[in-house]
Amino acid sequence: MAVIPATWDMYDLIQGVLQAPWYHMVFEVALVLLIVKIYISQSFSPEKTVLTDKEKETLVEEWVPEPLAPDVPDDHPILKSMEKYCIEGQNGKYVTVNGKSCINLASFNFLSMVGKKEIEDEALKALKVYGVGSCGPRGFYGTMDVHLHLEDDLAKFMNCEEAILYSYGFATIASAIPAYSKRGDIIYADENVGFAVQKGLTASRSHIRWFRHNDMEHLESLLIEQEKLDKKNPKKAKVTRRFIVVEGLYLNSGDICPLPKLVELKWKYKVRIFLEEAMSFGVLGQTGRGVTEHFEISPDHIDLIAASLETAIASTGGFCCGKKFIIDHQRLSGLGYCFSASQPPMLASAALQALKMLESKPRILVDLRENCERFHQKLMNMPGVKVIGDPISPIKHLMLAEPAGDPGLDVRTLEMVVDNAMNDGVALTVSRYLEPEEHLPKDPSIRLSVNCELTHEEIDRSADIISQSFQAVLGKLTTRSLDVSSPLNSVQQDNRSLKASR
Amino acid sequence: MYCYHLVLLALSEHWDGFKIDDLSHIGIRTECVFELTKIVEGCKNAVYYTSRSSVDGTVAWTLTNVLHDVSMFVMLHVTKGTPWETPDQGVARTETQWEQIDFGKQFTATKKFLTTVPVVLFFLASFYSRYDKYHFVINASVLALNLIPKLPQLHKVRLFGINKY
Repeated sequence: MAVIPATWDMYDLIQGVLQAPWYHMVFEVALVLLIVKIYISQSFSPEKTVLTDKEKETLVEEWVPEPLAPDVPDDHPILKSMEKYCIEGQNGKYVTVNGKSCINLASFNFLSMVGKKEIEDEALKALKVYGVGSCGPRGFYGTMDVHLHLEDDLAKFMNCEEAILYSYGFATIASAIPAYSKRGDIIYADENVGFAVQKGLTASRSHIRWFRHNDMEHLESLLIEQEKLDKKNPKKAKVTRRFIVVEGLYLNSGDICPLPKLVELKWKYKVRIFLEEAMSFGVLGQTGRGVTEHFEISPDHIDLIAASLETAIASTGGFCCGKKFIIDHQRLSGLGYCFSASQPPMLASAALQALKMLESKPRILVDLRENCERFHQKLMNMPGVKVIGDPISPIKHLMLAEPAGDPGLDVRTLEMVVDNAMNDGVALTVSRYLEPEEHLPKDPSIRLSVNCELTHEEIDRSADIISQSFQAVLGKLTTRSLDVSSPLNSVQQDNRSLKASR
Repeated sequence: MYCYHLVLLALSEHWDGFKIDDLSHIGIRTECVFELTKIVEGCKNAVYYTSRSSVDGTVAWTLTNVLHDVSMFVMLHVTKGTPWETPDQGVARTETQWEQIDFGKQFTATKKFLTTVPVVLFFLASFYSRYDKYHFVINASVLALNLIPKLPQLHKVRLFGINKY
């Protein structure tokens, strides 16, 4: 006790202990007992439910193992189409299905970038420099100079401060949403958003408020409702972040989001906007900058724009762009960015080249828009068919004007239309969804995508073929309700014999 | 206050570690030892300097106890969240530091240790203040501030909604 100066009288202190008041002694004894109790207590987790042996036994008895691989029904659409259609070569404007050349109206090749010589050359050049894969995530040896160039070019192209590349288009928005929106936050999402956005919403663990597709009044009523709640509990409101998540051009319906109204609501109710532009990037606007350019709104009003390089740009991956501090947050918090190998460098340079071509030839966008409008005009006048989507949208959904009411039956009808058209030289596709996982059941439709290089004759011819196919199938259905054979059945037979010979 | 500032810095730097992996259990114990050393040194200094100045030695110990308990209360039971982003989609945003230690388990070695420290300090302060009743009231109330929120019954309980959001 050398530290205690000599002026301290130890004797005095010990006298103090002896003269200590009784309440103090009781208190100290209680404390000692408390400490002893704490030290002899076993540690436990208060949130873990403790099961009795009997409960455990019943659980074990009740358990039925799930099959390692679930049974796939024989009529699964993928199995069926694998049997029916055999595609050879590249999916450009034309696609070879079962040895027959068809106009391709099934893939999102809006700007006809697939198979362009310039892009292929660039990709090959990069292949010789970098090899095939980047062999690592961006933060871990996976960053090549082309990735940085592409990020710079995309940011410049979109008039944003910074862009961040993802190696998979689906993962872009699915990672971006949970990077910002956490538990307890609120997301206002359009009911018709695509599957990638829905996955992002689920992963965010936030409260999701769905508003009816493109219904701004409904959205505003939800925002007003929340404003009232916030007034009641300002402390909670202070720590709650709010987001609106919409798509620029809806994949599932082919229409455009009312962005000016959304921006107005954003400033009025202090909400942030996340815009998914997988379909609208390189399609809408005079120079292909997407839905912001289409409505002539500065991208500064949008907090985050996520787009895909897999549609119009015809490469792989996707990107997000916005303010520097917003984008930089994803470099450590965007799960798809951190924990996934970066885009193969040759595909990044292919995307660079495609972007260059888009910048140098804005004419293709005019062509695309003209084609979309022409196609829309043709489809509008078709009997028995309902067209969903904006006239200038390259995605159009063809639905039955008089659906049978049973989605399964309608899908089969549409499949027959597709088979018919395929037989006559137009490749179409029925839109497919992971039904049990989707937020809302989707109406069956044929999803048609327009290419900018289609000539007027090709558009007219395909519209005629589609019309004839619908007529043929609907005619058949009204005359003979059962036992309708598909014109592709003969092909199916051929394929089987082909398989057997292999 | 210098040593408390250091402790705060050291704690805030490593505080989230135990949320992520088990290695951090070692981390938090090191922090505790570090904290204890700092407290002991701080006490020594307090005693030494106050005894030479006009401040009474008894006041120095009570002051030490109050400073310790109040700062530990703020650090462990008021501060919520983590200094950086965790992959739990914001679970830690609503939890105090104490609730995050050892994944919310009760009576772990770390928690036992952190409960003992204020009690020992209370004994010391009482001893050096010669069991004065005014000192007792002050020391016992700051001790209560530190012991009551540590009880398992109050795990994730926000009395009257205080510090809820």
